[in-house]
Amino acid sequence: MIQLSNIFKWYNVGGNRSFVLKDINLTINEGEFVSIMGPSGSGKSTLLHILGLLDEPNEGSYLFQEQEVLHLKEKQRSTLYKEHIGFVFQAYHLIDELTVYENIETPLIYKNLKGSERKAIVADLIDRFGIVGKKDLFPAQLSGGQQQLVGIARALATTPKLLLADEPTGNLNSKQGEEIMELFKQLNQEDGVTIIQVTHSEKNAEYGSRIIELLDGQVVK
Amino acid sequence: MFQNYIKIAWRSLIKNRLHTVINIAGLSTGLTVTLLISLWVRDELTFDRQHPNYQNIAQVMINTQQNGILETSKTVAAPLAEALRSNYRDAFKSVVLARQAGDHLLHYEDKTLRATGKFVEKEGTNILPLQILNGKRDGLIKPNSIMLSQEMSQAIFGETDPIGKTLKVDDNMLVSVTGVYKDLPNNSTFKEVKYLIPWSLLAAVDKNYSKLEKSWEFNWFEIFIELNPQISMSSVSKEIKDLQKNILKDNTPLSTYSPSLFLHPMEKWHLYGDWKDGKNTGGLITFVWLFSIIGFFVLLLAAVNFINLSTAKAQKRAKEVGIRKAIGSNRKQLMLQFFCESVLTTFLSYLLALALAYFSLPFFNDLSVKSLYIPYTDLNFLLISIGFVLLIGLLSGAYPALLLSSFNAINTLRGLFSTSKKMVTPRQVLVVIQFTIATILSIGTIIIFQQIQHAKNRQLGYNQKDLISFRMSNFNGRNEAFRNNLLQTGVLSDVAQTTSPATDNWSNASGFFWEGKNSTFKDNFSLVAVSPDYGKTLEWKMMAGRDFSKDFVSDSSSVILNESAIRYMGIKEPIGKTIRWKDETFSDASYTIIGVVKDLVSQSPYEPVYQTIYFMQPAANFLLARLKPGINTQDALTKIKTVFNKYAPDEAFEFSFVKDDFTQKFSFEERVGKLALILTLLTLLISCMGIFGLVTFMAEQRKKEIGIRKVLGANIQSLTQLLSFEFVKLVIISTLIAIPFAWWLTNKWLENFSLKITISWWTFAYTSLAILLVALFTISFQTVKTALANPADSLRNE
Ligand SMILES: Nc1ncnc2c1ncn2[C@@H]1O[C@H](COP(=O)(O)OP(=O)(O)O)[C@@H](O)[C@H]1O
Ligand SMILES: [Mg+2]
Repeated sequence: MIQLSNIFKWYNVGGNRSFVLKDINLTINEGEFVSIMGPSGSGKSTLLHILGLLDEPNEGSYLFQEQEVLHLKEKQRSTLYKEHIGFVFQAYHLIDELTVYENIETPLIYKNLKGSERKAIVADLIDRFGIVGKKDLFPAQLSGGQQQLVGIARALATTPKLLLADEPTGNLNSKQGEEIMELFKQLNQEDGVTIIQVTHSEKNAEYGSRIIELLDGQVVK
Repeated sequence: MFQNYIKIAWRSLIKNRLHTVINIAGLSTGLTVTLLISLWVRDELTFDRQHPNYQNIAQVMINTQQNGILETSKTVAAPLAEALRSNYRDAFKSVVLARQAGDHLLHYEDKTLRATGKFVEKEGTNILPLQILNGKRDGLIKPNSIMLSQEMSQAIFGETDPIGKTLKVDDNMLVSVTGVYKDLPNNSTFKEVKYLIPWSLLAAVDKNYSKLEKSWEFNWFEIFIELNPQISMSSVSKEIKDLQKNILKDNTPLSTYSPSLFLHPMEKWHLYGDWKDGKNTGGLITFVWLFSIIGFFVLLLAAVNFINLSTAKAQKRAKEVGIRKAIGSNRKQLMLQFFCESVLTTFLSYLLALALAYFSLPFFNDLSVKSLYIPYTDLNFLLISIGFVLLIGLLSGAYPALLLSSFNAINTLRGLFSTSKKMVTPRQVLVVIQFTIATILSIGTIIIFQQIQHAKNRQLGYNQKDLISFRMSNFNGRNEAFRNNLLQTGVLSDVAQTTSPATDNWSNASGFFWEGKNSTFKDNFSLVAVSPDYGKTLEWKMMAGRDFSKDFVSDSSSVILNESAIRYMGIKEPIGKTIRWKDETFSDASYTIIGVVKDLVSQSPYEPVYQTIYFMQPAANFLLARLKPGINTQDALTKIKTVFNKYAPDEAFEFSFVKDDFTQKFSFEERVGKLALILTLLTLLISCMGIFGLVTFMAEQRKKEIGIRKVLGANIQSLTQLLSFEFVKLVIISTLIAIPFAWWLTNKWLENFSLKITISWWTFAYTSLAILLVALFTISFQTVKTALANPADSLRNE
């Protein structure tokens, strides 16, 4: 599903190149559940953003479903993203002005789905995540765990094949974290969603089928 | 989809309440101004467009050579009408001779009304944009007829049918009503014409007119023409140029004026009424342009605020943009969302503007002397409004939408986003534009008021206090008795009669000769015939010689000249000199100069006083009377009216205070001044709202910096200075740009006046300083608050 070859990412800091990713080569197959680990600043988020088409490397090639996706036009990339990818953030990043229901609905609006279809999908997700009673609340009225559930529900609304999660449990207590991990596992096994998550927790990493370790922008394991 | 954008836009407006309030307040102010100005401009541009054939109608005008200057006049000699008719049969559908609209008395049973009307030839009913309500369209065929406006008919006959009723006009014209027309609209040149009387009646009752009708000497009349279809106005205008010159030949003295004729099309009467050297130099169209530009700029300022505030808020919204991009929004969809917000804001502002315009219209109408209304139910108006809201919303939303949607999702989510230098500069430029305009308008307004004050402070040459003026008939020799009767009431200190009101000159003439006059010099004087008490009553100031007196029988052939006349004629030692007046038709007589009087300002307060000759003659149109000081005005007027009614039982007693009449002369400039003042205040308000919004967001952005500085020991004063300096700098730059512009514009405006102020530098200095203080005051609310904020709070929030 994903094939990264010779990916380099650098920033120019004071005239020098400061490398964030160095020669990353990586293959991830459909249906895998991969955990990325590594110390802070090792380039995990950067890698995830590149995988999620939110950022571009300076060098290298990225085949997504056998298609070269680097240097695509913004519109094509956006379409590809909308069709196949869902993103979950450590800081949830819900839109403060929108209710739970509307937050989940928004990606569907961007996908130009009809009102009735959106309704069905959102109702389904809300039901499945057990947040029916919260659907008219605003993010500020929810706990962190609840917010992250909404974040995941939103990422799943477009039924993506690939779910990217950047430290999804980083701001949660361990019980909430476990619930999220169970959810991921279930998604991976029952719905066949490919999941790539960044985590600091060995325990959470174990939920995945493979662990990739990053150090100073390089894959070490 | 769309509904969703609107919903989000609405929520976002509610959430950023302060921002929204500033935005809508500023934008609706701008839109109100634009709306009112548009209504005004529309009214001006539709002037004289009521007649279905307005494009084929014109007035015949004349250029004459006067002492080397081409003078343009709307009034021409009467025989010209017949000459045009017979020489250009094919070109003209009709040629109509008319007398300038004037006041006459209309009597019906026991009612007497003074009203303005017009004597026109019978085809005049086709030239005026008449809508007949009752009676005949061609109602002026018989000489003894009159057509009334609806208002007039109402005033005289009430609800009864006026057709066929007989009225008496002035002393000797019996006419019967043949038609009633709808009151002519305010935006018609003929709006004041309340009735029409056939021209042929004039000659029938006034023997002077039969003489005037044949004379080429008196350019006293108007000629209107309607062209046949398919005839070009401009080519006919060229063809008739020399008609009068050719008829007069070279041998008559009149031909030395080398008259040349042309057509002035109806659609240009109102907006293009100024002439110089025989060429049209525009006219009110200047104001149409001026106000259109001002309206545009006010709107621009308001839109600038909108843009400024939206981009200032960018940092706050960056996170939202990031999230939206991360959940699949593309740039177009984001832009659409921001456009929805700006269009929604504009729409709300427009609704508010409609309400504001509705409530300020009575005031605005008063100021502009119009009767404008908002055409709510007019489909065109609605369509234009919607288009306008979309346009303004899209234009002012474009830059924020482009900017906000361009943010990189990753950077904004990481919090790496910061306001870059490139975003600051355009906003600074926009603030500078706002304050430049505000400064120019402020200086302009102050200069206008200085100029008006300058003219008001002028030495008038007579005393206006307690002086009243009213029209009177010539009581055939009973004038002296009338005067005595008035004085007997005990409320008046003096009474005089005159042919011109104190605040105007009604009669001009040429043909004077005096010792030392150059034979080629074409003279012209204002003439005023007065009673011997005139000088005493007005309290004019004799500079040499003596005033008129009843005791000198010879004073009927004496004259008093004003100082301007003495300078104009170039006479040394004028007292006792003789002048002769020889005029082709009416007179040939000699007069002795017995006195020179200080100039009396009677016409434009901005122009030098015209050379004037005062005669002592019993003719009278006006009576001037000075109330005794401290007398009850109402009581005095009742007493005067009683006497007046005794002498003129069927005339209406209509008086005015000379001071009020004089103040009227400033009304145009004062209106312009008031309008400029209002616009200036609004512009300042909008500009201040703009910097207030900006400083609010700047304060938010620099919260952390201020916190750290405070921890490091900065005091409140230095922090306030730090925050204020950014804006002070911009206001100072604006002032420097504005001053040369304002200098140039105000000098240009002052060219309209002969007597004008000299612009002094302190006007500029004080105005700039005042604007700077206003700006400082505006931002101080926020700067002080920020400087006072507890650093622990601002640092923790980061
Ligand atoms: N815009 C940027 N400019 C310079 N350096 C950056 C920028 N964005 C990220 N970095 C650097 O890239 C490195 C990797 O960051 P990141 O991928 O967020 O690491 P991780 O998620 O593993 O903590 C960090 O050292 C960070 O400082
Ligand atoms: Mg990270």
